[in-house]
Amino acid sequence: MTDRAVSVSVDYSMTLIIATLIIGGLLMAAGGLMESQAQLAKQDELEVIGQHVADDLMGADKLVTVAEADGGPIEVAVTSRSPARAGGSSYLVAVDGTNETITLWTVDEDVEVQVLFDAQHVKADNMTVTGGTFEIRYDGSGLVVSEP
Amino acid sequence: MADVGARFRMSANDRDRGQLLLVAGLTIAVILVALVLLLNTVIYTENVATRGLDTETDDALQYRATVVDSVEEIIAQENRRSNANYGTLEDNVTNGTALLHESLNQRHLERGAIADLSLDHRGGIHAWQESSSDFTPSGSSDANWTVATGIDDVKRFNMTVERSSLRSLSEAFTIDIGVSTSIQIYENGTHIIVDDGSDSCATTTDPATIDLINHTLDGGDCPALNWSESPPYDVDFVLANHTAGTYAMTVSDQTSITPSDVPNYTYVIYDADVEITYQSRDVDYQTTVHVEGAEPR
Repeated sequence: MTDRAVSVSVDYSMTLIIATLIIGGLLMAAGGLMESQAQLAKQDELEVIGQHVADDLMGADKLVTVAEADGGPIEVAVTSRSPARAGGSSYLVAVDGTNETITLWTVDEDVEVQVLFDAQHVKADNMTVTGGTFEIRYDGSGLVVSEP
Repeated sequence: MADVGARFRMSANDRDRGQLLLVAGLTIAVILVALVLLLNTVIYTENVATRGLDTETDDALQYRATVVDSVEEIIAQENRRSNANYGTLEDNVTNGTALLHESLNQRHLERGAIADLSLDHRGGIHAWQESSSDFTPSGSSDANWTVATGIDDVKRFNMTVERSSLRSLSEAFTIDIGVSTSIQIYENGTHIIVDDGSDSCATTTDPATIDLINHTLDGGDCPALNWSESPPYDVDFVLANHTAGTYAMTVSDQTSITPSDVPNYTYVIYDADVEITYQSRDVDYQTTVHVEGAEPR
């Protein structure tokens, strides 16, 4: 019976180690899944927001195109409304009129999305605003994006 | 709470071992709940993506198009009538525009948008001679007279002349426009000739149609009719008894032509600038559209 004492201790620690390993593995897997899903969700959301911003930009561009053809003084301002957070993190929007791209990225910089648009009057400067509600305004020579 | 430890309880010493599983299980449960929330966000995003986009900018464009079309139509309708009184014509157009504004604005207010328009119009007068006779003023036999004074703009100025009524170059009927344009119309036995001193064109068609706006003689380009004057300028007929036919002209500013001088006249709205404003929650739009007044006939 003297060797059985050893068996109990070994049994105890083995169970403990194996359970820890299994549970640790499970937790890690679940964490990893969480993270990749979160990333995908952010990417999806940014893309959709980007499309909406592109629509607002193109809408404003259409207004400017028509008004310029009219020849008179012009005033165009379109408020673009999107959620302030994508997948739980806030994000930035950069509009580039030269390459006709909208770049959106989360502030923790793990997700970046580019959306293309087609407009003639968006200014070339790379304009960056915080995601959410912002204004697209005609400044006399082109469309600029600015925070309200 | 479920006694998770019970399943692993082999002896009294093992009593506490279930704690590890309990904590781990709870953690995983929390992660799964978070995952569900996340997937929910994705579903919502996809839903938003397939939804129709906000079309407030289209509303603004539509409003602009409606206003332009309607104002054009209002002015055209009024211009087509015989307007002996400019004040009445102006009132009709103002009232028509106010009515248009009221009905359109009501529709947009229901959707939370303010749609506004204001009309800045320019008066004009259309004068014409319908039956063929010489070009002297009505009720007078003055051969030289001023048809129109202080013209800002002219959009129609054409005439037909009969060769039998015309004379030779030395005593030709002349249209003087402004300070530097003098167009002579005469005949040489076979042709009707239009001459501005440097260019000339001729036609055998009788009567000949002369269009001083499109610069054509009987539909063909005529360099002698290429004139340009900086406003305001006058139009004079010189030796108006040395021609016969019909004429028509539409000039801006209703006071440019004296109604009693011409056989027929009607006041018109020459053109207008329409200022269109559209304001909704997300769109702020303002533009000014130029609308040409339609020809009376």
